[in-house]
Amino acid sequence: MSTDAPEESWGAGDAVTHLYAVHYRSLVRLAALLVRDRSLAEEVVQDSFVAMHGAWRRIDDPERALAYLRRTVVNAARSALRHRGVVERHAPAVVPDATDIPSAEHSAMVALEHQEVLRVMASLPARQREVLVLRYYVDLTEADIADTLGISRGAVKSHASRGMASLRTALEASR
Amino acid sequence: MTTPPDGPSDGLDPVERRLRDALVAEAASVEPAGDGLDEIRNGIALGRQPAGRRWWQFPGAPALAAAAVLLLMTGGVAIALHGNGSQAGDGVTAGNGGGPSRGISPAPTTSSSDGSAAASPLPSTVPPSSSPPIPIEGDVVVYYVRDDATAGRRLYRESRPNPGTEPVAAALSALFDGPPVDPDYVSSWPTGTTVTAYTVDGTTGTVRLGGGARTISARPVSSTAVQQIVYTVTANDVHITKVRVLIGSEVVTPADGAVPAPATDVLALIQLTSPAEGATVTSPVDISGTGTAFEGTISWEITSLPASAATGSGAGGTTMGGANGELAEFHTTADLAPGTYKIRAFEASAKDGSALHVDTKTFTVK
Repeated sequence: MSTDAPEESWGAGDAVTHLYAVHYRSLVRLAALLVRDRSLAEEVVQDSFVAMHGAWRRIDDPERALAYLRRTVVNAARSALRHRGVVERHAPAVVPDATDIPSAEHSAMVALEHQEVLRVMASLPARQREVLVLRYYVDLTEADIADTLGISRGAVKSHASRGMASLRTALEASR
Repeated sequence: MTTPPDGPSDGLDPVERRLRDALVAEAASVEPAGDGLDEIRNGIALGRQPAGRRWWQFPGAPALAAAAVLLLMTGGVAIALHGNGSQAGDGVTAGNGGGPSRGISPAPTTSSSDGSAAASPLPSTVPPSSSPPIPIEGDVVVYYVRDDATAGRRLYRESRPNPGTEPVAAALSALFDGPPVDPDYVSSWPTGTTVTAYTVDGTTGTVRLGGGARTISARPVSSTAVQQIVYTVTANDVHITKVRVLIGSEVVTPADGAVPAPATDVLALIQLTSPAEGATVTSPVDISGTGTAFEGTISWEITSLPASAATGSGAGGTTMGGANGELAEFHTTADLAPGTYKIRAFEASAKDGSALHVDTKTFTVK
């Protein structure tokens, strides 16, 4: 009945509750960038939390839990994509908002630019897309990306540069 | 115009910046539905399969589900102890401000038992007050609802293959996992209702619901809805005599639980259990069910489908069920040629011969 339960002594249930509150939305967004389907992204993240709960004894550390979740989400997203082949079937979610009167034209242009980028992203090999999302959306370091994906830093570098090269070429061509 | 104010100092070239902006904008357009925590707890308690797969739709899956049974018995208890955490978690999901949230540190009184119980599927962590449920031979049973024109809303059961796990949890999972197989039946619970925990204390079972159940605003919750769960729980664990139902943290039954209402008040007056809806069977076809009727006389008739082919290939008769308000099983058989058929079972009104308390099934004879 002590009142000073230290964070390290979290049970699996506590960890789920806490990590859900803090990270669920950002993880769903990360998954959505990879699978481009909100409800599939949610399933992927929920499955990852369930997996984390089961593995909690081995993790047992709030710091490592986020890394574990991120790694599981990326892996689950990849297999979900393989499973469903949703890449091509789902239109991008960003649609110009017609009620946004003052800047409708501007935001429509921005949205179009975004669409182009996202379309190219969707066409990249999974690894390249993952590296770019982790680098430019999650803002991870090369080392953290390597850890998340379970690949070497050199591989991260080459996936990133190949992905960026495809992006530059495609965006240049559409100009 | 697309260059953010901090653009030049972020170390990114224009294409990188464009990529980042696109990803950030795309991500910002994604808003989770909001019942994720329920889904996760449900998944933990019930041994969740990867996205889209449910054990009773995949006959090969029971082995996987079996691995989760001990987790269910221990983890489920842990989750129930965790009631306060659930509320706190729901409350703070809107704020995603980053950084650990101090407001939701684990409840100290439960953290140790929660942690060890949930993380280690050891039999010793099963609370002593709960006797292990007796695994039901064969299938698990779930209850749905149908409006009987003369007897009001009644409960009708369907069976699901037993995944080899704790039968009540398996049944509850099946109950909310999809629509009833028989299209004539419905659930009183909204689509998207999830079981976030099932726990046992002595002879009282506690079912905690989330997801779609939260959209039920009427109080008290209809007795049909409550009985649907009470019957599903008690049918799959004979030790349970009372069932508490919670929506989120709100108890919607009497605080100490609801008992099953008398069978003749809530159960179908006539129900066919065999053949099952959509089943493929061999002739002679077993016709079974439960029912009560005047002088115990249950009528049945079989017509072939499509209806135009009905001539000459049907069958019909009567069989004995219960009488005087007592529900009893009935059995008979019918010889049928291969084809698709519809069977109706009913009580022929003593007054005018009209069909009362009709239940129908469509099935195929191979």
